[in-house]
Amino acid sequence: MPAALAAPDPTRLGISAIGQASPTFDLSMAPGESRVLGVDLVNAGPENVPALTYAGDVYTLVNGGMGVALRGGVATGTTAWLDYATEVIELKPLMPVRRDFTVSVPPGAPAGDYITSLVVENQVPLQGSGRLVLNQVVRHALAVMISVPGTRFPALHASSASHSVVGGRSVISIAVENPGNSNLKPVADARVFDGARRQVSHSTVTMGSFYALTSTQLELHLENLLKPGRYTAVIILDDTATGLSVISSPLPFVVTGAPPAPALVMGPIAAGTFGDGFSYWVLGLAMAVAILAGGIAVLVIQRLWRRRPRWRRAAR
Amino acid sequence: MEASRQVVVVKLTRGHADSQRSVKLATRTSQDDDRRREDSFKHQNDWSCLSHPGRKVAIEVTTGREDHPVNDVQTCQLNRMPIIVGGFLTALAFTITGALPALASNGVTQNITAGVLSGSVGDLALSDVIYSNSAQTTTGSLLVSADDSTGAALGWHVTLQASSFVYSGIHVGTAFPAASLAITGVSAPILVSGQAVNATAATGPEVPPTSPVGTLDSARSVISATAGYGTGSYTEALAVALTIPAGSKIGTYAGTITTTISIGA
Repeated sequence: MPAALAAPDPTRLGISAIGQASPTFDLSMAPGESRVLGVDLVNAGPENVPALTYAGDVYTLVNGGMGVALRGGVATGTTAWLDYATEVIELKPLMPVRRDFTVSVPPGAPAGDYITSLVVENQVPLQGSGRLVLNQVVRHALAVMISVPGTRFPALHASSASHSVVGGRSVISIAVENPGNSNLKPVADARVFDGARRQVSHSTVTMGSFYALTSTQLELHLENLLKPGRYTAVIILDDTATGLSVISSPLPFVVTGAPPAPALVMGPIAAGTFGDGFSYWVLGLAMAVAILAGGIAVLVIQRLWRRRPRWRRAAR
Repeated sequence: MEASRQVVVVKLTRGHADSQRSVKLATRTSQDDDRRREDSFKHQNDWSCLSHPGRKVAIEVTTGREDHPVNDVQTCQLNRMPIIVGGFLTALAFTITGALPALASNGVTQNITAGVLSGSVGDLALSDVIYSNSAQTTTGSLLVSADDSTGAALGWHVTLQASSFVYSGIHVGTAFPAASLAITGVSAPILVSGQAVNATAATGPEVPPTSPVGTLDSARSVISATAGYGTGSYTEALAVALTIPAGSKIGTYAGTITTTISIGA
């Protein structure tokens, strides 16, 4: 049985900021300041949904953008500034539920851009089916951005490169870090050179938000598969808003010989095993073939016996 | 925040052919009266309020002619049924203007508040596999759905992230790592309803400039809309591949895919 997801459009949960100019929180707060805020949790679907809501750490996605920690994660950094309670709420259709919380910026918090998030999601994953099951959690994340006034020190750093293969193509991953105190949106100009210092790739990647004090991967998707060998990558990171421009040192990486490509398969999964790697149905098929072959052999022998030459019969 | 699906049908019957007609529709967000959950139905004749838990509905009907008082209007009903907000506005305007050709001057005010932002995946097609002593890959497709009914048009993005695939069965199997599931291709977003996709200008819902192709052990942005765009419902097809480690035991493997939608591209 092939894998299947739960029916599409399964849940429609939302979370929005109350009393803000926009549906998100975009706050400017001084060290030591506290503020009480509120959110509305809503279920726009037709049925009651047990909804899990929590505060989740924000990190920078591969190539930039807001990523939110999954449920069960430990609140760290800016998330610890919130006293938002993790809880499961039975959300009824079209009946918003309000939750208040307090944001407290620690007295010694340095100037900079900070971000965390509030999440609402279906508490019970929607169940898939098949032998390869894919259950689903659908969630809505709300950014809580806090700006602590003071001087900004934008900074970027690229530290290493590695190679992998996805979909038969080379992907170069470059570890990048934003050690500064301001959120950036850099554009990366990336060049890859082979061992003879010939340029084999040149691409530009416009990153999404790269949050202060986070690190991520910059991925370069090449059009083809690099041959095994030694390579280097060099990137220039430019952030227009701050005027920051950083060029990396040559970042070496190795492309190893491609492992045998996994076989593409489609078909039914075996129902049982007879030792590792030997299926019952294979055994049954072999037995059936053997019985059939035996039957055919008996018939052939009988025919040959009946058609034996007369002189042989006479000899008897 | 207010849910996006509702319907209010207003039936106003009997009127006067020589009456002046007008319909006024206004919207405002729940932030104007964010704590007021009660229904409100205001009318010169004090018609009864109808129950609309969780939303504020205000309709005002007034007459513009002294010789035709408001009580000439005989019926006014409000029923809830699912339609999208845009459709609701159209239906309401049509009902009022079309069904009441003879009514005196009518001012109708409808408050519509914000809906939700939602994203999900469905229609996964991933074939089962036969036991093998070698690693193998099964391929399939996945359909991402995104819907922005907030009316705020602030832009949004949807990310996908997979967990490891946990084994269950009679053998001592081990889980597939989350990186086993990968996006290998992506199609352009398709409009279901709402604001058009403008791929040329790259301003509507689009495949993010940073490719979503890659393993799903980390979250990947698969569809996004910039501010001012993406008010509607969209789908996007993804090609996916699941790599099954060599010697994986026969049984069932279950993983969880987390779909996240958030405001801002």
